[in-house]
Amino acid sequence: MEPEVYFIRYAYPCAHILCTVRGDVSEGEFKEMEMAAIQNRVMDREYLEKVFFRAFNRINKIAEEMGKDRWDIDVIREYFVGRHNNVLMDSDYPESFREMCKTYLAEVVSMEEDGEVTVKYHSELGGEKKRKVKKDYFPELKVGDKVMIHWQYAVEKIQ
Amino acid sequence: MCLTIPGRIIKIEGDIATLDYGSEKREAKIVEGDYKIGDCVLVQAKIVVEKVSEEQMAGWLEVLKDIEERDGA
Repeated sequence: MEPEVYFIRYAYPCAHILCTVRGDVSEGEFKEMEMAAIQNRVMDREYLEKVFFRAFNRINKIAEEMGKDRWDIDVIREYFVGRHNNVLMDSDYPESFREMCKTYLAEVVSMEEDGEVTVKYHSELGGEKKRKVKKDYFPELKVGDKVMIHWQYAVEKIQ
Repeated sequence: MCLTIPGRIIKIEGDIATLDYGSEKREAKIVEGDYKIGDCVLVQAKIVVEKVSEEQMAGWLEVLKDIEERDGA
């Protein structure tokens, strides 16, 4: 997968907040990101670095540490999967919001009538939790599949 | 953080504003600007930085509602 697509799949739900709350991202831009994520469309790197500058502040540091390019998929994965939840510890976010921001490894437990799936995951808050997520990126997703979840999305399939 | 989320001011004591984030309350410092109870504001590093409109706040509450419905599905 192209790193731009991988990045936008993780970052896209955050763009929703940027769009809804502050208008930092316009509705049109938001739709474009959605299409890029679903149709594997490669977006302009400079544009993404500008919109998600706070994420790239951290990604740049990780790239330096790993001795790799910031657009190396290993670097982006290390940010979203490896570090992101720890970064959130310092945030002032309300707990329920922070929980959705975190990335979790989850397992699909049931298919829903509206085309979404319910997954279960071990929450850092303690215990097993369930969440209903969209499977737009993986139409073939089935019960038992393992995925990384971020917000209301199954973002990445884990073999 | 990556995102800045809005809250409504429910109390001001000196230069400390108490913000309602729905399920939780948080305090933030007013360094400059004219804020009053009922205003919706953004906070960064525990400092009130900007006012947001009622429209933006309504959009945010919709997002929050969706979040709460999904978690613990």
